[in-house]
Amino acid sequence: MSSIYFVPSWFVGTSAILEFFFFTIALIISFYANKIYTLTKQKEHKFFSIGFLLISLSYLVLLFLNLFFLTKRNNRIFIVEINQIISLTNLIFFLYSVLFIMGLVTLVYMAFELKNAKLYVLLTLLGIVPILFSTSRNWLLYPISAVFLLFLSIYFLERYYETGKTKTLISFIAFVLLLLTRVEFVFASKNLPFFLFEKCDMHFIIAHLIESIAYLLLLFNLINILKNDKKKKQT
Amino acid sequence: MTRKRSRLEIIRDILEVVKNRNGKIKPTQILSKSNLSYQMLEAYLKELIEKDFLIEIRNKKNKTYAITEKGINYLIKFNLIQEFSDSFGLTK
Repeated sequence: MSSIYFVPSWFVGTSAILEFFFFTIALIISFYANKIYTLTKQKEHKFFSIGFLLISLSYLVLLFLNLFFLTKRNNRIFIVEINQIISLTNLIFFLYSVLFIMGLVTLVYMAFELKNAKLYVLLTLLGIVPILFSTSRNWLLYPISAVFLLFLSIYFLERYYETGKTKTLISFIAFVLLLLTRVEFVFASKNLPFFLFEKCDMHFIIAHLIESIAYLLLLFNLINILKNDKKKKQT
Repeated sequence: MTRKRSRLEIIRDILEVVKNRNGKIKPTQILSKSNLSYQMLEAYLKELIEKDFLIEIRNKKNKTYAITEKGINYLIKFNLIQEFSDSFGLTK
């Protein structure tokens, strides 16, 4: 039995552009977090950088999948069949899942100040093994990543209560929106017969829209940081 | 009531105290100016030496601390560090 990852035909180009956009923003955040790490040598900055680097790489892999491995099923959709047989598309989709889950696990590891490397491996395996052995792996990725995003959202909410700063609130909202995208992708990717794909289209589009807003909020935060730094240098 | 200082702010305060004494200062002098307990200060000093923000200078009578270039760089870039950490919830 195979599961199907699909993209509405009219949205393929836009989807690719958005994935490139998410890849770029996540990479920029990772870059600046690494820059801060070189100044502070604090573990949380290192893990934050690594987490976003893994997430950015996952979007790059997804972009690659969307650009080169989608095949037209009918006038309405492009699909990739993800089945039990070892194939390049399987591996690429699995790589996307692994990178995204590892990125989230790294952020969770940072957020909860975990110190044991075995816990990191355990969390990663708990996220990846069900996807590997599932017959609905394109669907299962989303609830699993939603659980990690839920805990990250709670972490950012706690940080906001501590700092009371708007910029921390913006990061909290961004992570809540990323959590919501996972919920939307669950509805978008359920293994439904083709005639019901029309209903999945809207969830797929809404998920991408919400994800765009989330990354725009993170980018807004980053731009403000750099602007304020420039202002302080001038004064 | 004043807000509790974050780790980054405590590190900044320690480095500023050392820098303001022209780079050489005794532990007791840092203790009085940094508002930390002795045990906490020891832990922070150990961390700052390990991370090359401070160097420990031992002579026959006592030891002093001097700030390194990395430490000075931290102070110069502190606003950027603080802004990034606040924005992405990395301030603890």
